[in-house]
Amino acid sequence: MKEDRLSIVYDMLNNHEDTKSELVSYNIDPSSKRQCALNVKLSKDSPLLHELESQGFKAIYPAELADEEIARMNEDQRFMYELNSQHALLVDSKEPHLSLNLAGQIASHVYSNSGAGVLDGLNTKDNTLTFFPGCSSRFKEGTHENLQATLTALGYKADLDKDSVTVQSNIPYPSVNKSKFAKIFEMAKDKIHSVAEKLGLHKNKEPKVKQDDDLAI
Amino acid sequence: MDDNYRQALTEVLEVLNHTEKELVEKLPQDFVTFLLQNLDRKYVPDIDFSLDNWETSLKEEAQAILAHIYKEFLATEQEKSTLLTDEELVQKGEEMLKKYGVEDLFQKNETKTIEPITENVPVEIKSSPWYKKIFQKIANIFK
Repeated sequence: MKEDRLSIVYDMLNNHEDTKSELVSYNIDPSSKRQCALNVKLSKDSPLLHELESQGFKAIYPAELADEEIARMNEDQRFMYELNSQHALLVDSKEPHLSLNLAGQIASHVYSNSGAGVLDGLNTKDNTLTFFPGCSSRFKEGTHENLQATLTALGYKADLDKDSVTVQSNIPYPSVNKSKFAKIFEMAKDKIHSVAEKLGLHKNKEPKVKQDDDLAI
Repeated sequence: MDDNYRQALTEVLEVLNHTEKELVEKLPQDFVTFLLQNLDRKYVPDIDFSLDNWETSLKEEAQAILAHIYKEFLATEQEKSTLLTDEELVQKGEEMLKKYGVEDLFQKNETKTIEPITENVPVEIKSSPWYKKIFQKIANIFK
């Protein structure tokens, strides 16, 4: 996203009569060090949304949870769910978006309603990133397909597997290999015991996993 | 779990999200579930992977969890045998002392008395030299 294109969004947010819409945060692309997406509080029925889309900005919303998951929520959880669902990630669809980092940010935003994070798997041979969302069974059917369609619309080559979406890019993605883990081990080996004890990560012991009821939306 | 640990888990996920897929796939499902469900999703880690020593910018707890991941899930059996923390080295040393009784060796100053040889006893040498054995075999052929 070019700086001048971004200024259009900033201007529209500042000058629009829809005062409920506001910028929450922006995402930086580590390779270019430039802003690449904006996290905006923007209602789906706001007229500003249509204006932004007409300017070529795509608003990506968190995927909806399945009806039975929503029915199980208490009042506070439902409030947080609805609040989070109104946060759009704005991406410029007129620019070629081939950075895996941005794709990762989009996936993380799309799956953000599950209450769990997204684990990415990097394949350095073909420079692809596969997204494995935690608690993916909580989403409505078709969520992975929608993410694939969103990424494809932005210019990515995206493939769908059973419970994951894989995206490919030509821009190299910084990778972490085994030797780096070995180096970190040498740095931190004397802290393993106390941290593992605290988190319940010891061998032959199940780590403490939150119950579904504890999941924060 | 306090916020510091939750943020450390977020940093760990960020590192794993840049980790080669074949390594990530070695992590057990229950560990991944633990990680994804306990991290702080509002915390944005500031890790610049383009730097050579980006690992120094991680929280100490995140470094320890990544070290745990390497030791338990990523290292080969051969590598694991060399991955001992200082505590484990001390423990292993104590086990060896116990097993081989090296402590006893230094504690007991027992002196063994060697019986003196009082008389010379002739000993019969039963084995013959090698050249005699060969000669005997050749001789046997012509018998």
